[in-house]
Amino acid sequence: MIKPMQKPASTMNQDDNDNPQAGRRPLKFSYSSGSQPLSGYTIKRGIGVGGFGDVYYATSDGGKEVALKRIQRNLDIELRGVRQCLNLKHPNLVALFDIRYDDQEQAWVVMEYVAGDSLGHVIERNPNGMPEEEVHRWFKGIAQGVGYLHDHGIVHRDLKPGNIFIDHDIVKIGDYGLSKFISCSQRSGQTESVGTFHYMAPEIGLGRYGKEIDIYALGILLFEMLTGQVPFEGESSQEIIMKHLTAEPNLARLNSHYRAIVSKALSKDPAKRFRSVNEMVQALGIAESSDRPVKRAPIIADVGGEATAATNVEDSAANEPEEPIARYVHAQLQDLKAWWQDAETNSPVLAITIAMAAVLLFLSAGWLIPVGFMLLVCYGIYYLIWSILTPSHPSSSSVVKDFGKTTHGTKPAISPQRRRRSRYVTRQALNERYRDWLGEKTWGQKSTELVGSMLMACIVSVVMSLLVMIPTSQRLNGNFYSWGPLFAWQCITSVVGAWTILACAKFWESSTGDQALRRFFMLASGLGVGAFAGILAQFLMLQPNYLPVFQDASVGYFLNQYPLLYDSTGNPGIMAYLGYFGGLFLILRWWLNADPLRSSRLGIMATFLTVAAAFVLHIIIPIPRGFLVAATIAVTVQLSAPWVNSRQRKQLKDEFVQQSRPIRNV
Amino acid sequence: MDKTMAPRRTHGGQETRMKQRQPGPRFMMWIDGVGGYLVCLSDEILIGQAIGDSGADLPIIGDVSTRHAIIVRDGESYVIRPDASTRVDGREVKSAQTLRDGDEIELGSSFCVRFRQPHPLSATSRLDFLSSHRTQPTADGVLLMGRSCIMGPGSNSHVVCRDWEHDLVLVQQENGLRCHGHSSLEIDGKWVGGKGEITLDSRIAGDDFCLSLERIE
Repeated sequence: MIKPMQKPASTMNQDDNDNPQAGRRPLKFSYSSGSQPLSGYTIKRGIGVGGFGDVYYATSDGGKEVALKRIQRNLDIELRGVRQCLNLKHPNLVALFDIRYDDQEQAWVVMEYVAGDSLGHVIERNPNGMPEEEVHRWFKGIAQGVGYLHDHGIVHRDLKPGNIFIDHDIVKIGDYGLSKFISCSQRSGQTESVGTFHYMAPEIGLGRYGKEIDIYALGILLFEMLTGQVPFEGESSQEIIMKHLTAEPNLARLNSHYRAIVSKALSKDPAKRFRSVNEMVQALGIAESSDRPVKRAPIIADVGGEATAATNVEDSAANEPEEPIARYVHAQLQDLKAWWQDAETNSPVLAITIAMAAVLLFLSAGWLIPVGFMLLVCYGIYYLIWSILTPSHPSSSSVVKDFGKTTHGTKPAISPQRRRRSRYVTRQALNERYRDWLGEKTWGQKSTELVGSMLMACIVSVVMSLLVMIPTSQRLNGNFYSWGPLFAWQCITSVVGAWTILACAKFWESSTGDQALRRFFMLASGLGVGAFAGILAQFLMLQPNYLPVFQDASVGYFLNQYPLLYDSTGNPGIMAYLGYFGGLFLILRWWLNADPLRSSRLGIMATFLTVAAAFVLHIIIPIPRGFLVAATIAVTVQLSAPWVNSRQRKQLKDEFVQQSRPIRNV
Repeated sequence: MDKTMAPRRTHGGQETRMKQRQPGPRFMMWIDGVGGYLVCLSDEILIGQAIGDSGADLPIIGDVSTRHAIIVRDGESYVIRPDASTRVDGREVKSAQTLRDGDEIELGSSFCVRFRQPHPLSATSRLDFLSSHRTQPTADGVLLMGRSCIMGPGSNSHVVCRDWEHDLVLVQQENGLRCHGHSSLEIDGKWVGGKGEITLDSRIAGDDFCLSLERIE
């Protein structure tokens, strides 16, 4: 009785999504009631299907009830773990009786049949937490079993409610010995249910399998027994894994005694957890008076795992956009690509399709291009609103991408090879490391960098301003007095805007920070820049000079709508400048343009977003050339702010990996 | 069709107290991923110690008398008639007493089961073991099957199979057992529609389940 989890015997095949609530999956056992694949035993019923093979309830010819576990792969290395545990004896461990082979040379593990409930069922029946005494009883049994395993050099690696049972009031832990293989078997096309991830210590991503991962799992179990819920829940395995890596558990539901214990057991840093199960039991105050022998064998960190360097592989499947419409279009394009590449679609068909598409495109270019442009603009506006309304989730997909994955982006199953030889560092962890490194800079260094960027910003914005003058200069009759002040205004306003952003970003670069607060500061700065721009415009006596694109009915309409903001000639007053620049600085996360860890020095998307946002604002509060100033600021900031290039990143990453390399004592 | 299947007997307490009592028709129902159940079809169930030829329908490996108590189904309700020390919900029972859903039945000093009649429209009841005792052959629970026995995900099923999508119903008829499923079923290797006749040795499989019956001689 080793495998029934909350969803007993669930196998997850490739078609299933990985929603933890995902429904039923068919139970398919290879052997039916009454069959005798292993001489001397008659199978009565299937108990469960794990990643490693089926488990059956069977009786021996003499009438002994046993659980039979069929090991689907019986390479020597995989049975080594079981052999190692075969003669362990502890009341809290499901006893292993033997390893037998059938006619087809398939290995079966014969073990004790446990009739009682699994801890998973008990927790399910107590959705708000089990009674405290009950928790103590279970935890004591679990801790004694796990402590015994640790004493014998075994790390369980897969402690979870579905692996822990109670039989006649005795807690029994199952699936030890095999556990190295079950969570990660992919040969059979089966992976464990997502539940497995709920108990997975963060350092598993780094390939570290010390006994600390069992302590972590014990912490999760304790929390779950007390509250009925796991501390890190999520819709998908990615989300859960990311929470294990970064989120602090919410321990508010526990009383202070348990809070301290769970918090210590769930430390992200393995070294900060309890050093042994016994220590954790002592802290709980439920230790037995009788002392267990304290001679410790070294903990086997990783049987047969040789560290091989694995590079951080980028993965295209996981590169799906997050925004729903973009995701849909992406999916459609993928389908189209698949159809295109399909061997059954022969080449004449393809040729005709291309020809027809080309003709259609040519004939309808007259309206297609404007419509396409409008659609693009609408999407830009939508995306802007979407990205503001959606809470930012820093590179959530990439974290999991590195953590381990299967064939399709959203279904990570940790493959044994990956796990064992992983020298992986998750992107999240790396980013944190980079941030720390940024934070280590002294204020002297920072101010030097800032002054450098500011000087650079002057040059860039002069060049950019000149550049944007070119396409719009036909309206100015080449006379310096007509374009000179305009150029000066544009240039100086851009510089002031860029400087403001660079300075703020410099302060903020060492952390990801609180977005709302940052936006507020940006709003305040934006108002300042707006006031400056307005005063400067008045000083330079700028004439209203709207770009031809915007010199349309809508501008006139708004000019009439807000007589307070604009004078009779359509010249914006100072309040219009305040509104425009305040809004511009509020709706965009400008500091990301100056973040040294941005993905590329000059981002096309970031620039496009800025232009789109400025366009929207222009519709509401038109400012002559305000839209060009926004673009200039975006480019200026990106070009002048420091940027950590890939070579530096690689260097940092290597240092980081070096520091966190698993220590092996076998 | 199934020759061992006794016709439905009406209440006939006196005869069953005869010496050479034979247990009524019974079978084990092994449900993959769920458990093994001892199903008793007759209306009278003798509970006694599992020794020799006690003739008990429910042979208990435990410290109970050879003939400890009889549970009788009368229409939709059940009555327990004690022969030895018996308590229902902690109260000593001397004469026949009606059982209600949720009653705890204690026989002797340690054996204890809970009586459940989970489905309002079915007379079938279930005994859940509360003590560590088991029957011979070992079962995870005992079903006293009336006309129908419902297996499915709902909590009012006689056997709760949480991972199943639909119910499967076994129906006892004059001439044998039938089985009704939601969609097509595989009975003893043959695909049939939503229902089919089964024997006490049948294997029934559907989309997401599989169970085997095993006759107890």
